[in-house]
Amino acid sequence: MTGRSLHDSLLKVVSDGSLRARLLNGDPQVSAPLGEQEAAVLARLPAERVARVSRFLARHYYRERIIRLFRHARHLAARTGRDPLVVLESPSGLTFLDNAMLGSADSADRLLSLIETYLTENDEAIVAMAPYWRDLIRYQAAMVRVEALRDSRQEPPQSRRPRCSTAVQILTLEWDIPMVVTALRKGDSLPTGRAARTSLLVARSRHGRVTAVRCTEVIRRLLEAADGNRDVEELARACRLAPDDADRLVRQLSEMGALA
Amino acid sequence: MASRLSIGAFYNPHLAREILESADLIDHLAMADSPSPHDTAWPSIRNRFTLLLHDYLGQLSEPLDGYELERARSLLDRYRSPWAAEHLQRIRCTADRGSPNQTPRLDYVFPPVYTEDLLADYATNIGALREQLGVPLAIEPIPTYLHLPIPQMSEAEFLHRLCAESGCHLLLDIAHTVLSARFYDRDPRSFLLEQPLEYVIEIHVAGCAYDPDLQEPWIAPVLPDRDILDLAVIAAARAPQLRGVTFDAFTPHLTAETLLNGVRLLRERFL
Repeated sequence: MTGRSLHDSLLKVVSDGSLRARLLNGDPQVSAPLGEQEAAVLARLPAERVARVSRFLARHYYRERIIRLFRHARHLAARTGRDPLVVLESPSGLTFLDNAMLGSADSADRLLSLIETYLTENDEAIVAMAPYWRDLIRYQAAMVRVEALRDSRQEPPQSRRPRCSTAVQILTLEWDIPMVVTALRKGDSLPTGRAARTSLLVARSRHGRVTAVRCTEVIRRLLEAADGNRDVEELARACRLAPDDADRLVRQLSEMGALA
Repeated sequence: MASRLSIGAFYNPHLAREILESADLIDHLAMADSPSPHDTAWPSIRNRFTLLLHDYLGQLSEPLDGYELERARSLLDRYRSPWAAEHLQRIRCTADRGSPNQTPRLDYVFPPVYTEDLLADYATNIGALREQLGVPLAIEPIPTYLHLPIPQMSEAEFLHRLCAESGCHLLLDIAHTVLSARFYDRDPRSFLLEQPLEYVIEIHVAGCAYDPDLQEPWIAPVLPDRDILDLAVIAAARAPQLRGVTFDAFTPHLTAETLLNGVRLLRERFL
């Protein structure tokens, strides 16, 4: 056992509620993921302190994501009376924090379920005031969900034969959410919004940055054709694009993480 | 020392207007996040203040990769920062070569264990980053809430050796020092005096408040009490390389009143 191996195991314990429960409940099988000597040391830690610091770290982790990725819904909180951060203070939020595996897609989905329920339950008055409310929530939920996804291929994008990343989501909305977001950024406290069928591509880059862009028909066709077997020239032909345009689009989509 | 000491705060973008209006009070701004492209005050902020790089640059128990080094260099150039700072923290596991993205990663400072193997790794990687940046690199230790029951160095011994072996400086957060002393069941003053104060280039000062999750005090974006300010003055008097003292509060909930009063308190005690 080294300091590094022990600290690696400690990080796993404080970031994974299920593993932590197994350690604190004396499950002998927990030495498999943690290491035998490492598990023996960690089992001697005061359980209450482990639980407290783990909840503290989970709160910071998800609080940061809510503040950053649900910021537009939060901007409207003065009008709607609903701040998604409140969810982390509720009994179900505390249960979530104690059981979460930080960064996992499953935990992101469980948190989003709590947030979406809280924001949309009996929200008729809010929808009357801001008719894009539910689409805005869907958009922000997609940002959280995509951030928790990991593409299975780890090496830098291979632009010669790109394929659609698994850390990507295409959203179809009934409201022009980019327009709402722009208005909120400019300080509009309650944008009026515009009803318009809108398709958005949400992707996570290799460095963890989540971005959304309008998903045009060309982008959609290119993502469908990018199966890892076609090079850029073949993609250009398949999507009826000029080679230079296909090359530029592939580079842009690779940078935002939509192509791997 | 007093004539060249810079007094500042963290750049809180929601308080940009108030910060600019009180520019005569603030010498420097520490940058915890890179400015948003939507931050209209950023050009004025950049022109008016000395900026200190205090963003997350990477986990220094591992070698920084090309992207991280390039980003660190680019931020340093953008801010024209006279020194850079990074936490002595470990927030993700050693990368598994097959699945580097799958390792757990925290989103909050978390200290390492103070063992020989990690000291060697930190010293190597900090030295490499310092060389890449070409300016002093200050390392900020983090309080250990969860002490592992294994033989390891004291925090002070680890820091003395780290500074000596890597050539780094120290960013001393006085609230961290108070909490570390509490967690080790030590008197804060004697704990402080054990630290390698001769390497301190910057001091952070803020307060502590009860944290409901930890059920103990933790650092908080509030004004420091008299004990913390007294400790900061003691540290400064023993820190010949000290160049800046920063009111350490960075949160979207921070009020202009707290930020400016924090800076005023520091000016009263240090200038």
